[in-house]
Amino acid sequence: MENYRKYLDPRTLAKLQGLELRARSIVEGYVTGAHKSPFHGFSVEFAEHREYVPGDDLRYVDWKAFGKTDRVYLKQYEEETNLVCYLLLDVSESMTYQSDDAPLSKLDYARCVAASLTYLVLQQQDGVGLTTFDREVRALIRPSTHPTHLKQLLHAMEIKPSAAKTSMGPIFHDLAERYKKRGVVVVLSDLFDDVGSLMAGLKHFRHRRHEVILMHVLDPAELDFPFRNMTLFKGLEGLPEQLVDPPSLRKAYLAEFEAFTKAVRQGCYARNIDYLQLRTDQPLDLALSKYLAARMNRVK
Amino acid sequence: MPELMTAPLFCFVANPMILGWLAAASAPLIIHLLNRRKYREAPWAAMQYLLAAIKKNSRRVQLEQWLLLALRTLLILCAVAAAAEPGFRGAEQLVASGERVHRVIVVDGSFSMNYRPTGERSYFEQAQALAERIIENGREGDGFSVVVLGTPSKTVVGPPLFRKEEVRTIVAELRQPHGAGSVTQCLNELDRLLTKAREQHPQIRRRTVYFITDLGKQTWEPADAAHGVDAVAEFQARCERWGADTAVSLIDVGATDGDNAAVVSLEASEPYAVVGLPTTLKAVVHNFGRQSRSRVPLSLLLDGRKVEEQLVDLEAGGETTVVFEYPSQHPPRTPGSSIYEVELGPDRLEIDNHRYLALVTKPNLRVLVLREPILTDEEEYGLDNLTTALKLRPGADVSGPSPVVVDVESDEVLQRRELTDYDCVFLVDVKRLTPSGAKILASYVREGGGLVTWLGPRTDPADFNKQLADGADRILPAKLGPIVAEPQYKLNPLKYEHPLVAEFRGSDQGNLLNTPVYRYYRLDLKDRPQTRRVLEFLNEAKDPFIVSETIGVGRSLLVTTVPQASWTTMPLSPGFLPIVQELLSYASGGRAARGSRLVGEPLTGDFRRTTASAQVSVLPPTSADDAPNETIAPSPQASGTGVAKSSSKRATTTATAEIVPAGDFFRWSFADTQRSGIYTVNITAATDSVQRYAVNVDPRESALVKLPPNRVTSLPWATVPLHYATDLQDFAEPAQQYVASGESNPIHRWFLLAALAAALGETLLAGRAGRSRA
Repeated sequence: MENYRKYLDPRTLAKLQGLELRARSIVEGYVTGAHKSPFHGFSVEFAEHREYVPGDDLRYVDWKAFGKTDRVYLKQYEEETNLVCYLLLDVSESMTYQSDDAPLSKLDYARCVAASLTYLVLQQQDGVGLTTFDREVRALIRPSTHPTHLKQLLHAMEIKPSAAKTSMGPIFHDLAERYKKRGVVVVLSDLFDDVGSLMAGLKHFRHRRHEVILMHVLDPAELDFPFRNMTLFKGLEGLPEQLVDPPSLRKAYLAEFEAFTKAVRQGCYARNIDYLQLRTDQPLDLALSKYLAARMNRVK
Repeated sequence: MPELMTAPLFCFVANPMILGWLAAASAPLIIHLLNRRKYREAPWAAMQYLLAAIKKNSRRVQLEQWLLLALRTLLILCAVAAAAEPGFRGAEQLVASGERVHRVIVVDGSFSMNYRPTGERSYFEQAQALAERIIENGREGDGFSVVVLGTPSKTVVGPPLFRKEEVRTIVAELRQPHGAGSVTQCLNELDRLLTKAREQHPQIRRRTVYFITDLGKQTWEPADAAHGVDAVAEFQARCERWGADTAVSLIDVGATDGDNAAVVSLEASEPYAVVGLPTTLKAVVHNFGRQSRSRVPLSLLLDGRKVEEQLVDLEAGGETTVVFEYPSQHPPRTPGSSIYEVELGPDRLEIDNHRYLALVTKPNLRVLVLREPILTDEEEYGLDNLTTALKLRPGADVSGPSPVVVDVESDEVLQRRELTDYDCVFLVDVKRLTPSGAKILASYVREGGGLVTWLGPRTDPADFNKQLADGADRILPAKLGPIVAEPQYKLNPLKYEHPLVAEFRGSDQGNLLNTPVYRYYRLDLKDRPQTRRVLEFLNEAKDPFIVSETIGVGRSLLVTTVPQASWTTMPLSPGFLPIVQELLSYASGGRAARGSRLVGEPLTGDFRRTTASAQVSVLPPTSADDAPNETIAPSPQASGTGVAKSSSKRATTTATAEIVPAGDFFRWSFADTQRSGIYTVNITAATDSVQRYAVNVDPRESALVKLPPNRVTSLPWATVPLHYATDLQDFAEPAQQYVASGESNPIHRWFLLAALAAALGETLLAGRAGRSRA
């Protein structure tokens, strides 16, 4: 049990090259370690049996029914019961921040999480799509259940981040209109944007009957503000630089940041949105387990 | 407290050099500015939240930073100020500095310090100048005490004085005493002084004792050393006992051994002069130097008027006896008191060139002879011989009335006659005395009367031993033993050391030593260390013939036989007359000897209680007698040892003697006899009287032998650091060892508390600003 966890540590994953390898390590490691399949129950919805006719895909033959009845039946699934997962990945400049003590930048961490989810969803033959954005949508890949879809998504995730400021509200409104089929929307972002606008966008997803999971990716330095010496903080996304004596402002900063996260958390709660805060120094299986647990609750 | 009201209050700091560290107060500001220039750069994603925090808290953060800066600066300022030990001057009661020093200046006052090595200032004047420099070099807040080393040593300033000017004036006005010095006695005085100063000023924890001395051997290594008292070792032991916080400075102002001659003795042949009788006056001059001196003038002054001068040759290291002719050629014509002064030609130590003698001239001498009322022929004959011998005063005109009046009475007369009218009482073969008579006689002797007791067949030894030879009121020099009936024909003069027989030395023309004695009393001299043998029999038992003891002021003599034919035939001997006269002279000299004292010895006297109020005033030596007041300077015209003399008149104030009742008398005493010369005593009672006393220097101090300094410096000084200096120009303050100060200066303490408060405030504020959680 303990052996696999070391592969899920962000520091270990940071040494692995390529998102696919990282995603495979996360998911297989998690599954192997858990010895329990998390896939059934929410990814495929069984409808009925029908008799086999030549030309049918033998993968869907119900061999147990054949054993009992000596007749070949195929398991019939309802198409609309298939899950569609929409991954929204923030690739703005603020996501590139990586403090000294963090093994991965927020973007890298979010990419790992997104890749893992992609791999997981495709493994259960559900559809998964990806949208990367900053101030505007940078890439939009429609959901697909084909296994080869994985490489396309991973390639899209590797997009170079821009220096543009995040502006999630309008983008979410736009995407909510674009996502026709009801599904699960997973947002991976540091949410450094106007909370009101953000919540309006998310509300739009909920309006379209999407399940929304908000994964709030943060660097430990942003949560703890551990600086001691005089520091010139250089703002990202066009914000100014500021020379600060950190100890004298730590308390005030933390209060501001707590107010921000609290507003987000309360907004999510009010809109029945799953909120997950992810620290980039935490093991990545935590993100997966939280996601899966959330889904389990939803389908009960 | 009125001094506090008038005294100006000035700030001072004990360690001004530390104030340089005040510049360190700028360190927090410099560090702050440097910190602003030295910073790291970091990208920051959550900038909007940091900016919001800055916007809301910038004023508070700025205020906290300024407060922190101020507290850190204050911390340094207070710490530096505390280390500088600030204080006040002008108000001693408020002064309290951990580094203050109690400086005790001991000036050697032995009269050898009057020596002028090269015609310049005397050692004593050099010591005064040095003491003034020590005071001047002392810091504000230091306390000063002044002690003059002498016999006895005198504490001029005991409790520390803090006003430099006042102490300096006191030192400048010091007058050199004329006595000898005793280091041991001075150490006792210093012990008391230091103990008291510690109690009164516990905040002054450091002390320095300065001994300014010529290291005269008589002062530092007196003859007492032969009896096991090593003054130098005692000096070191006592200084070590004072502890490590007491430094000792030995400042040697004495040069090498100096040449000096002194008049060491001036005596009259009799304790009293008698009207019409010539007096022999004899002076002894001692040349303590290594060079002989010839034709040195030696003058005799009578009541301040020079009456005779002789030129004497003084052999190096030798004594010269000079007999003056004037007193023998000019017998006194009226009763009274005469002051004789002998003055030796000047040299570099002037004080001991003078010697004084106060000689009382009486109209006659009065002797009371007590005997049994009824006498046998033999006894009558012996008594006649004795009274005749008493009346035959040498030099008197035998055809005229005797200058010695002899009253022969029985002991009953003691009850009704005033004994003080008599110079001497002779007890001749008296059987016993009544208790009251014994008491009167004891009182008479103690107050200066003379007593000569002849023991004979009627004497009751048991009664004499009980009433006269035992107890606190005893007046006999020995207890009486059995009668010895073994004829003795030879007497031992015991080297003529007793003054009574000193005149017989070298020419026993009276054949005194061959006096036949057939019966005598054996004496018990056990536990009588004060009793001196005058003559003893030349037998195996060495039985005393005559013994003496000074009882109180008076003198008591005991002759172990009586001039009766069956006891001794000494009245037939030519030596009888002189021995009787010597017995009278010596016994009656007790009261007269009180008129001559050495410097430091108290003057005492009695007068009858005839009135309830009485006053005794004492006029110390006036400037005319006051040789030390004379300033000696080299005369441009004089050659050799010639010096010119100029007198500086100095006002002499009258002092009052202490008076205590003593029976029917008042007894007065005057202790401050630190200078040689004539002291005039005025007794204001029912009948006023004036008495004059001669106070002379102790000639032992005249030998200018110096103690080698290494006798002191080579000792292992373990606890107390000893600083030795020889030259006035090279004199520097002794290095003081650091003594941790447990007692804090109040000002110092306030600064320390302020620094502590600043440190505490800084910690709290820095914690509040978030540094403690950073």
